[in-house]
Amino acid sequence: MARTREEINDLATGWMRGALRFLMVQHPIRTSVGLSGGILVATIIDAFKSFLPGINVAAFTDLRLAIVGVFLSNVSLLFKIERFPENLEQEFAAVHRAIREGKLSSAHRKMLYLKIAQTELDRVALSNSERERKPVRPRTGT
Amino acid sequence: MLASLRSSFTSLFARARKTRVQEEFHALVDTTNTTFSNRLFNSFTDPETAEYLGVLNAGDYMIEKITTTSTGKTTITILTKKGRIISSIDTKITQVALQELRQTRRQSISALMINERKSKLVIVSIVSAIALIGEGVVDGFSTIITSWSTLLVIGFAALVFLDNLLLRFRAQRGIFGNTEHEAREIIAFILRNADSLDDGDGTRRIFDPEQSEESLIMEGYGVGAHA
Repeated sequence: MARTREEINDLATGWMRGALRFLMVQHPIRTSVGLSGGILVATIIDAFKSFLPGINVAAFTDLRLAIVGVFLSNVSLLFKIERFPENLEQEFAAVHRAIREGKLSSAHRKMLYLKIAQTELDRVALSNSERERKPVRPRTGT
Repeated sequence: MLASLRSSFTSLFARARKTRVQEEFHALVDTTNTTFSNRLFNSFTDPETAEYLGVLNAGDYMIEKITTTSTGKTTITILTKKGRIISSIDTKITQVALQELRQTRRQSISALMINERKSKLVIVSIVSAIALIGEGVVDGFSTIITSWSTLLVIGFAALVFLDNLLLRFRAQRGIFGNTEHEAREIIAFILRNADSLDDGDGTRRIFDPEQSEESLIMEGYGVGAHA
């Protein structure tokens, strides 16, 4: 079946964003601080190499230290699993199962994902408004 | 099936154009965002529409996108289980109505996310500039032009910029949130900023109703809301 232009856009840009995620663009500040930090450390080591006679500073190139910086700045993410509340995870699991079983078209999949997000947004907005409406009980001294 | 739905929808709009719907559409545009899609559908309470909605099974569709250009052509995209139905209607939304809508609408989640990414890009650019200037001061500015570090820093900033562009493109086309990861990204953003999303009237949406001065785009409206 021929794909529409919209579907091609969706696939291509979705794939590109996935690739960018892999290149650590998901957390750009972390990665860029690691990258720049590595480069600055390499520059400082290079400037003070005459004061470090016992160390082979040739090994500390800016490229290597930049890679180490990126790794160090992102290493905590490897141990941090982002999990939402159980009800949301169950909804995602149900959609995932339906996709795996081939029961959902791409259009229906989008609807379900947006529905989950919109429901969560409405829930957050509602809880905020309830919090605002809740009267503050005055403290009484004992 | 989809072709027949499309043709029935097109004929619906063709008939609607001849009737009062154009004027009604004008009135609908400046209503609150939440009720927009429901009122739009409720305005077509003729047998043909009922049949159309019956085919779709109530609750299994959403208005994906409504685009109105300054030339007065409105295109409505409805997302169903089977695919998209796109139809057009000639309307002319006045500048006054647009202005009113701009004032009443709340910033959407996708717009907030784009703003957040934009500010991150500024921070990345500043951090990268500091690194390059630091290297230039110590090693000499002539050496940084050919160094690996310059390529890395500028390359990474370019990737962040590209990610911003892609996010904006997908949000404008209404295809942001199609994948599980993007849906999780949206929810993570909502949960992260739960305290600042201080609207209790439910008018905030995932997508921006208006993406540019030229077009009025309403996306993600009425998800299964019509009974």
